[in-house]
Amino acid sequence: MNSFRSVHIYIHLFAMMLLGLTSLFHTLWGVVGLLSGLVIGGPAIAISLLFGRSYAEKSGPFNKQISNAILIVALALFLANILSRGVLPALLIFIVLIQFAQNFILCREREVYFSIAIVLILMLFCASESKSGFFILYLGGFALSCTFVLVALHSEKIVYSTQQSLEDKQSNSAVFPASIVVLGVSILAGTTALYLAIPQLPAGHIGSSFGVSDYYYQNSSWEQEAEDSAPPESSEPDAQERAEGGNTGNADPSGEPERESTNSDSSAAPSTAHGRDRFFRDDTAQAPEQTETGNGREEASGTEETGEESTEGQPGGQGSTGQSGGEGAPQDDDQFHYAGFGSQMDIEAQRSGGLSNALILYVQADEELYLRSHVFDRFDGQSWHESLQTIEKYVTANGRVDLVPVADEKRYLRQSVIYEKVVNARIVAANFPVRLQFPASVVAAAHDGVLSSPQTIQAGTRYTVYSDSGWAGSHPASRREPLSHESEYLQIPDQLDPRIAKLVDELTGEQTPFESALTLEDHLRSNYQYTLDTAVSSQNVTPLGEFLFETRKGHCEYFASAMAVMLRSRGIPARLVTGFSATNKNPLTGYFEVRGLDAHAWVEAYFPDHGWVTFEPTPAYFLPRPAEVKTTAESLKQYMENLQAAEKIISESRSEVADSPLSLKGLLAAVRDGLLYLTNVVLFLVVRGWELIQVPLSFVLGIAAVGAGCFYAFRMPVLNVLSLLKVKLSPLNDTCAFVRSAYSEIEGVLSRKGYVRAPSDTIEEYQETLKSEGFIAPFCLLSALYSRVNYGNYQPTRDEAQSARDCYVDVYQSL
Amino acid sequence: MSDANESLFDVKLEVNEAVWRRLQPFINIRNFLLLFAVVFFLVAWNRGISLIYALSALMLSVLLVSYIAPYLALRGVTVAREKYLVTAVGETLRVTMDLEGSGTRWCRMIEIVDRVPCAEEGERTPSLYVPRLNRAITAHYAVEVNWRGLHTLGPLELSSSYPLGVKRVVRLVENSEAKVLVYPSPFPIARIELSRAATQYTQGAFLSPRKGGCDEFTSLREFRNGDSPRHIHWAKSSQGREFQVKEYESQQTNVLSIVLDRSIANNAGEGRFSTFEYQVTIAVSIARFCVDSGIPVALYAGRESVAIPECNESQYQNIAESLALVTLEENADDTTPYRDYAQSVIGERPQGCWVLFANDESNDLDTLGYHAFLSQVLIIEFDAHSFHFPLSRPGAGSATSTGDYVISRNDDLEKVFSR
Repeated sequence: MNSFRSVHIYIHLFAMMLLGLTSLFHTLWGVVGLLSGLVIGGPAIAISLLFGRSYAEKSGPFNKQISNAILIVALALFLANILSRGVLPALLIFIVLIQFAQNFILCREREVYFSIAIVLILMLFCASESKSGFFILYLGGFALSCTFVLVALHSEKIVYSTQQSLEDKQSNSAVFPASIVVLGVSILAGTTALYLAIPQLPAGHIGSSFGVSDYYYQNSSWEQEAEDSAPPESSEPDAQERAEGGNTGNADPSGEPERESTNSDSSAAPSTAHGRDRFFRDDTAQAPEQTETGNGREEASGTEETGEESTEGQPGGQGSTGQSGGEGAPQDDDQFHYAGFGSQMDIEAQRSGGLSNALILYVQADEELYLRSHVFDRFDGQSWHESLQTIEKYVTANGRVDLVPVADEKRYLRQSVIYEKVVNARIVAANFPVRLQFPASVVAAAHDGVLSSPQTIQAGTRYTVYSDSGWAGSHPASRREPLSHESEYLQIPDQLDPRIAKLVDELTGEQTPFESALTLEDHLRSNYQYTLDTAVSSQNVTPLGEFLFETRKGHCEYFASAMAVMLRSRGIPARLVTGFSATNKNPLTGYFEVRGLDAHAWVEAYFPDHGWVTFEPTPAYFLPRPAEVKTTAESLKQYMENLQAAEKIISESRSEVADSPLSLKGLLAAVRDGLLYLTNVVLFLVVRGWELIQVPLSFVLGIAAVGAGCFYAFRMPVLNVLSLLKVKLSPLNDTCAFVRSAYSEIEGVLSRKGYVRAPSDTIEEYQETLKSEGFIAPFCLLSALYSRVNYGNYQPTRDEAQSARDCYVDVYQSL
Repeated sequence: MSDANESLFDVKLEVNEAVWRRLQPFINIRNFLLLFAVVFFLVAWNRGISLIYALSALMLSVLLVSYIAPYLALRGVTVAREKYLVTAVGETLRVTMDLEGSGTRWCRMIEIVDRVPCAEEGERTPSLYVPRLNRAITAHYAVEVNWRGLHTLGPLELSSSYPLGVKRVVRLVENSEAKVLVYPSPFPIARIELSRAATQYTQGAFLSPRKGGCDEFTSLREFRNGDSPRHIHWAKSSQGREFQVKEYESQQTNVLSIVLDRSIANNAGEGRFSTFEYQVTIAVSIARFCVDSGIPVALYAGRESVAIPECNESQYQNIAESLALVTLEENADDTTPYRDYAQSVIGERPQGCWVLFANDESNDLDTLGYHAFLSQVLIIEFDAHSFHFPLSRPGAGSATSTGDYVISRNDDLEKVFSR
């Protein structure tokens, strides 16, 4: 058996395996997993590797028997898990166990490679699952430990291929050849540079599959409704009609008749395909029933399963998520509250939940997007209402449902959403969703593209939506579709401040509707200030007048309401939309991080040429931009800036209750802010600094390169001439120094001419090699004098120094 | 599982040998790193996961460092060693080198490869491995030398494949050559029966002691027919029943001269197993024996001759050095035939003992036998057939041996000369 002897291989293997295991546990179970990995995995790996080391020294049947036993257990567990928990968990457990089994007999090169492959698979899995930038540390650790394993292995191979004595071999084998610090820093620096420079392209999504979710939502009454009201033969044509109507709008070239059923209002037929229903708040109340989630938890669906809940009893009138509690109900800490996520929204409601700015969702998408949750059409001057909503219920096929026929999903905007907190039952998605992969037996879709789950969506739920999004200039636009209920979208509160209409007239004049919308958006973004402190007191009248003409500051609901009303007063159909702004992508993880402050309200206005176009009147927010290829460094800088901006807004808003800098929280906040600032500065230097210096630096480097090239080409004659000048111009005051210098210079000249003096040659030996040359006589004179001066403590006279100079010149000239 | 002690991991995959040979050059860490970097990049791009971009960057970074590090490892490394070395065939040559690094932590995994042409085939490139070179160190290697002569070691080759063996950078060390003089190694000779070569003299063919000679009594022996009565040792003879005669040895004959046969035509066999190399080994051994026994010795080997007989260590060194450097005549046409050469050198000093070499296939023996009448001659004869055909049975090709010693290939010379 060709086993290795170096203990370093085992040490670094231990580090690598421990990293792999802890990263897996950390990714799956968070900090508890990390600690478990360290406490359980560490000793287990260490003991098994100690067995492996003893096996390398003296192989015995005992290790093999243990290894075989663990392998059999691994196989049994794999079969059991594949039936009960699915392929992925089964595979993960299996590969961890087979590596553990192999550790007991690990003593050969191929087994080391096998271990690296196993840990690599784990890291790959963790990298795809982790949503934390912290994981980059695991990757770095894995890379280093893996490199050090290979270094030790390579060194071991060299040791035993050299012809040294056994003693020397053992001695060399005991030395770890790499400098861990230098090599580690080099690799990490290289990785960082490459990572920051690698352009992150828009995802290909070739053969990508739906992620596994921990939950599965069911609602038998919804399913019943969908099945009862959808004749089998009418389902697909109906969807087809919807798609065609939506895609072509009024200018449909196919000439298909416009579909009436999608434009239902309160007077529309109550029963349409796919269980169409009026989606009023009180209509969503259903009989409580026990529903089972995918992980076997029994949950009470409650009376407000769809997330449409009363705002009554909520402080400030803000909505809740509609979670009705029960045995499996999430804790309040896991819930996110935002006033805009109810069936009615008071624009003066404080954003209490948003102040935490905690993570709510992770979104994976190729470009920034606004995720829509609620669409409000009716405004009474104080609150917005979802008065108009028609829903259709769809029974999913293994969680997948096409809201319109989708021929090629690649042309649609794909977004994968992972919930970190409980929000409500709305399935947030970009406008306009066409395909949904959601872990539910049935889902509901409203006419305005709002999707709903049969139950409140739990933290940990993940789903994928494809949206048919487009652009109207720099503004996101949904598909062109005919406008229904135009009057609803033009509704204006009765007691609207007349100054608003006057302001609109002044601003827009004779502009086209689209230009008017842009002007109004720009006016609001430019002349008003965003704040989370609501200083407006409505006193039962619309607060918009006070906001627009007096306080001139407010939060996003004011801006969105003001713009919607101004658009409507200009005759442009508009609606207020709430949801999440997913515009801050963490470049380390690739996920858009949606936080509390990203719960937001914006405006959609309808234009016949563009369909529903999104406008962003709130100055603190920015509309999604089309995808662009950026380096990680640029993305990281933007990410940090966004985080800083959010922190600034929050800190300004809670200035009155700000943590004292002397408190622990205050100190932590100060440290965090400082780190953020430092990171920003570094990134600025990396990204912007390069932009600033690249032209002068290129110029300098170019000059330096040309200079270096010229010097390299002409260095011999140049150095020789410099040497000659030095000897000729040197004063003869210190004759000893002069003779030494002359000899040194002539040796330099000779070496450049190819007469190199070997380090081991004495002066006499050097002379011997030059004896056939023509300059040997003057050279001998010079070297003899040099020998006397250098080794004989001889003080030459000035004449002798002069003769040394002459000898130098003679030699030089004869060359 | 057939064997309870067999690991389930020991599953042997039967891979077609030809396929495996074709694949093997591609199976290395560099290709794996590249492959993983590309695969991770594609996975990251396909799934849009930034952390997998980081994995790809890690692979590329490791690859990059693996390419740059060997250059840094060799930067500023200097090696110095002795320029002149002396050893003998069959002895271990120990070469010591002083290494000094640049002082950085990059000086790792340095391999030093030397070229030793006098070593056995397969051991001519001894190597040293220095895992890390933080400070000046002295390293050495030892190799057994098997070829006499003056050889040049080196140049030394420094290489490093730090850290993963992805890239190997090789640098020749300037002026690192060294000379090594390898003497032929003598085997011990207990005694040489010069009397075997001097049969005519002792059998009465010569009248000795001659008038005015400087013969010296050496021993007593039984009287034989033809012995001069003058040499009868009467005192001793009276003690026994037979006559005892005094045996003399000429002082002039107490010089041993070795005449090497350098002609290519007479050489049989190849390399170390050629008759010429056997001659050299025997010659140096006889020289050693002579010097140890107080017999003046001379060597006749063309250019490399040490013709003035002397008996001291310096003489041995001279002869050994000559024998270290002696080679076969390069141009066969210009060479003097061995018998002519032997005649000429013997003619210069007909007295004394001569060690001559003969090949049983050549016809030099008769001529050499003629000279035996003039002088004491010790003829060492080679069984040429055994040198030409190493696998032949001993004695298969030899005809009648007329030499004093008959040597075949693979003979233990020490045993031959102890007979």
